[in-house]
Amino acid sequence: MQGGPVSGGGAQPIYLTLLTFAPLLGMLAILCIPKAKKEVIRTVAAAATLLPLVISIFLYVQDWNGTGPSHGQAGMRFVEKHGWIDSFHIEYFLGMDGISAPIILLSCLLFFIAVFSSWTINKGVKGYFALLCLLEVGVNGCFLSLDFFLFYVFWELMLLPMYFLIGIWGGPRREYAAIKFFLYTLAGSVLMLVALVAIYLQSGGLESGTFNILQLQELMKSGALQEGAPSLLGMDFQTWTFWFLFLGFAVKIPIVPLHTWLPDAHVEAPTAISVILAGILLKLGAYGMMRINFPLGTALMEPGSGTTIAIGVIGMVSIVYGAFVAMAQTDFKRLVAYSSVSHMGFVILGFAALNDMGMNGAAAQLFNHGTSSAMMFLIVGVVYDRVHHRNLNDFGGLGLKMPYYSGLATVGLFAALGLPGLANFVSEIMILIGAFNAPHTQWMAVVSVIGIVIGAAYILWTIQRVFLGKLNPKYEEITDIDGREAFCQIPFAALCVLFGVAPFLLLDVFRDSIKSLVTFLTVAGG
Amino acid sequence: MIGTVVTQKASGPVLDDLVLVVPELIFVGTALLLILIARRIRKTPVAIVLTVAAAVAAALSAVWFAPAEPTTGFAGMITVDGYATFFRVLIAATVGMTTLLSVRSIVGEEVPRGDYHALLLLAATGMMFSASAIDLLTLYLGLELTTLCAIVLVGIKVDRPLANEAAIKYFLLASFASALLLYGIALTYGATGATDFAGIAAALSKEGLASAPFLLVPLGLVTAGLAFKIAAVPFHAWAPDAYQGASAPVAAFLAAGSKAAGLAALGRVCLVAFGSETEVLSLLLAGLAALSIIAGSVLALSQTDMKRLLAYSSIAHAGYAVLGLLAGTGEGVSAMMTYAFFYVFMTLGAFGVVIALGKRGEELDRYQGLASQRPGMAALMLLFLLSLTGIPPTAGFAAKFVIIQSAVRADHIALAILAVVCSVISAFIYMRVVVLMYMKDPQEAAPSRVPIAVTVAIALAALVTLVGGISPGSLTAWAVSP
Amino acid sequence: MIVPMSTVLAVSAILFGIGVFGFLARRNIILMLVSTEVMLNAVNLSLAGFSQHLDDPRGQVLALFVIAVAAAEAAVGLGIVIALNRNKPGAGVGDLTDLKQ
Repeated sequence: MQGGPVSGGGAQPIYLTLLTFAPLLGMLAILCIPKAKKEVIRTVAAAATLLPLVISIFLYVQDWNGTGPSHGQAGMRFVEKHGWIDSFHIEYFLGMDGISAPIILLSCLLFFIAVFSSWTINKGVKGYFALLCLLEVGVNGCFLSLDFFLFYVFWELMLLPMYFLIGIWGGPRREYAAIKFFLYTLAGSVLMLVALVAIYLQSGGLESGTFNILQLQELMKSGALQEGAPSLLGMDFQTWTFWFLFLGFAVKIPIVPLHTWLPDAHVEAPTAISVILAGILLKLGAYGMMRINFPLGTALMEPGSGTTIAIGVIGMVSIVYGAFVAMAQTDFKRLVAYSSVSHMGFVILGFAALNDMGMNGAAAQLFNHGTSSAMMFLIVGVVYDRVHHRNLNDFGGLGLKMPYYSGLATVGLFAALGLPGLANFVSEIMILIGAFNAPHTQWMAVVSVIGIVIGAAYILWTIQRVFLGKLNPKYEEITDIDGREAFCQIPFAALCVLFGVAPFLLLDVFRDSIKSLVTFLTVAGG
Repeated sequence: MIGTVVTQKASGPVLDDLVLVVPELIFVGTALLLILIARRIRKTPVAIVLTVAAAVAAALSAVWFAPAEPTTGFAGMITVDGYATFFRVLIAATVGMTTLLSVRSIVGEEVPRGDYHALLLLAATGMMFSASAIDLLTLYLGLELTTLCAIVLVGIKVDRPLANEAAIKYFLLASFASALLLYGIALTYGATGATDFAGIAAALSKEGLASAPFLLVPLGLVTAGLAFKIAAVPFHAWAPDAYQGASAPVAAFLAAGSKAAGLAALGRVCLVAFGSETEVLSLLLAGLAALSIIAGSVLALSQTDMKRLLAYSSIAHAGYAVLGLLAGTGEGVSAMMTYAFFYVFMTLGAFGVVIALGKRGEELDRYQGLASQRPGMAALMLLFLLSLTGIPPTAGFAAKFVIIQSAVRADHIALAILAVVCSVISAFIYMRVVVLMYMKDPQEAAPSRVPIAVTVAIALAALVTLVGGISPGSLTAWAVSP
Repeated sequence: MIVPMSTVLAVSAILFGIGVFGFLARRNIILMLVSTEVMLNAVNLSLAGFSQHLDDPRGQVLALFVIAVAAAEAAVGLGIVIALNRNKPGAGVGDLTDLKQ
């Protein structure tokens, strides 16, 4: 990294750098610890993920109180900006607003819990926790980057740790799942790279170009990037770059029909990695759309335009298709994986509605699905650790032997179902209301209700097959959830309840940011 | 040369000209010395030490004696400018690293040490000349010197039928390609009355393709001849065979040095000599690049021999590098230079790991479980493979980034998309190696110890690959086009 | 006697074509080598012709260099053929199939 601070003379806060790179320090520390000292390695990993968690809680509270430092560019706080690769105008530019604050909190929490959830991993402990820390660097970096190039670097940085975490510590078909994950994501991200380069060149190229996301959005909206811009297959510049970016992010969410890597990755991944994958990696795709993709395509984001209808249909199809396929699964983890597809479909539908309600719901759903899906994977993990299979038809009556586990699990599953009083209900209902209020997505909202109904069906059916009924005699000796496992699940259960009964604690954080985003997208003129 | 050379400077003392070719003189001098004392040093490491010293001296002198302004010498036959200096240093580095990498292969089997290193040095001399040539004659001589030495290097283990076969195939295709190049040179000379690049450019700007479509023939022939040198499809057929049949260090030398020299020559010819015919040239090059990228990526999928796999990867990478030349601008050529620079180090590194693992390194399946036996080697291989794929933060990503940028700049968006999609295809094959290394259990005993020289060379390549990824500007800021 | 330029060009083009055809059609290594020599000589012919036509000595100088390089090339080529013949007597290009996947 060359050069000093670019903007302003005063010292810049380093919260976000700490938030991003503290796990990297943890990783380096872990690499220095001898292989045999497993407890030390785990403790260091826990410490390395605890620090960002503390910072993110602190920043979240500051954001919620509105007492953070003065707002930077476009409502960004805690901005850090330094030159990096000057010849390409690439900057080290981090910032946080209401949209990133909750999701960063979620990310830090998930990684912290993931460390505890992986406490029992005994194979290659050193490599595992080092990679986990590296993964957190990539994820947090993505959520905080305001420089498109930096964002891309973090985006690709996540690829490798995830690949190894699935490929080395995964189940029987781990290599297949890891490679599939890698290639799908890479294919999406290289398209993003082309769009990224094209947009940079249009913004002035080597002489005066920029990778500053906020600046690029203003330029794109004002039409300055369109002049003399190359078109592709008859699409104008803004259209094709929009769709390239969209594909790159959509693979990660994932939307139907680009979702097939997800069930494989989930089924093979160890529990903690599934938690991270469902809880936070999927959110990156949606976050990327909000932060980068949609604001770079304001011309296409007219409510009722073909693009918004297409996005809405994608969301609707994901909701309904995901729910039906989840219903058909007999593998517990695969069921949860498909339910993720369905629930992330709601996020897309919320985007397509393009109004305050839908967008707020989508942002809330990102957080709430993060907690509930993480919890569901932990639930699967607990029972898998004990019986070493995930066949739903082979359980039964576990509630009798594992009362505490069943209690916690029911909270998580009911949250995913969307039971009123729990967090997912709030976000899903907001999305549906938002979509219903927008004329172009009205019918999609109606159709998507099917997804909710099916969702209720498969979750209730799952509860019945696993916890209720006669105890399967095979499981006479099964033990209830232990302290560590409970410790992993309780924070998520608490958040599901907390944001269910007091949603304003979550919604207030991003309300302003979402409002300005929706205004930026829908109101014409610079 | 007598006559009407346009860029000829006032005929100064010969010494002035000789100063321009100090790196080449060092190489030739060392090579001659090695041939003279070849019999005495058969069992000593003298040849290795001398060659590495010559490489370091050549790299340093290339920078030290680099004139402030581009200077032509030998009656307008060569020029020493930033472009030439860049490639000279790169080629000197390639020679040094190849020498370090070949420590084991010349000990293990009967290879005449003096001759081997002399040939390396002479081939490198040819490469340097083709990078600084500004006349078709010097260009031809430089490339020919490189190719002839490389052919002998490929077949240097005369008792191995595989080496014979590789050398024969390489030789036949190379002589065919140089005949094409030469015919192109002759026709260019006939049509423009000049052999120096400036003279050709001047003649072309007066009477270009538009008025004389006949010029397409020499243009195509010269491009084809040069495409052969960088192993671009459809002139690539020699590369997989030559790499597989040659010993791994020689294959590394071909993949890195030969490619860099060919790109250097192609870049200067396209930009300076045929600079006024950008449109047609760009079309030709786009075809070459597209075919190379597709074929290199797709054909690599079915390979089980590591050297062959890396050969196809080198074909694809030649295609990527050519993308930089499409725009016909100095910036595009700088992008190509950046690509060549990083590519040389990552491919040398990948070959380095292959060499370090000995026979085991040459077969894909035998990489199984390497990570648990040699974690360091596996991690280095991972780094080079990631770099070849183009994933940040490795130099390969920086290279891919600048090259995609230059393709988009030249309005070849479809090609840029093709390039990145094919990079995903080749990611599949590179990741297969990673799967074998990291996700399978070892099937055989851990490989024997690696000679220190090989480790040094790999470490150097790894250093460049990492630093180039984190701060690419610090390494390639001097990539200035001619 | 001055031969017209067009004739020189035509003869050299025909010679070059014969060389290309021979190279592609023959399967005997020595004959392929000879074919490339024919191609090189076609080049030399056109270089000399151009040189005279343009009244510029450079073409002839180039031709001289080409002759020298062709000699070196033949030496290298024949050396490899001898080495091959020692290991695999009487092998043609069709027999060189060990390097394949």
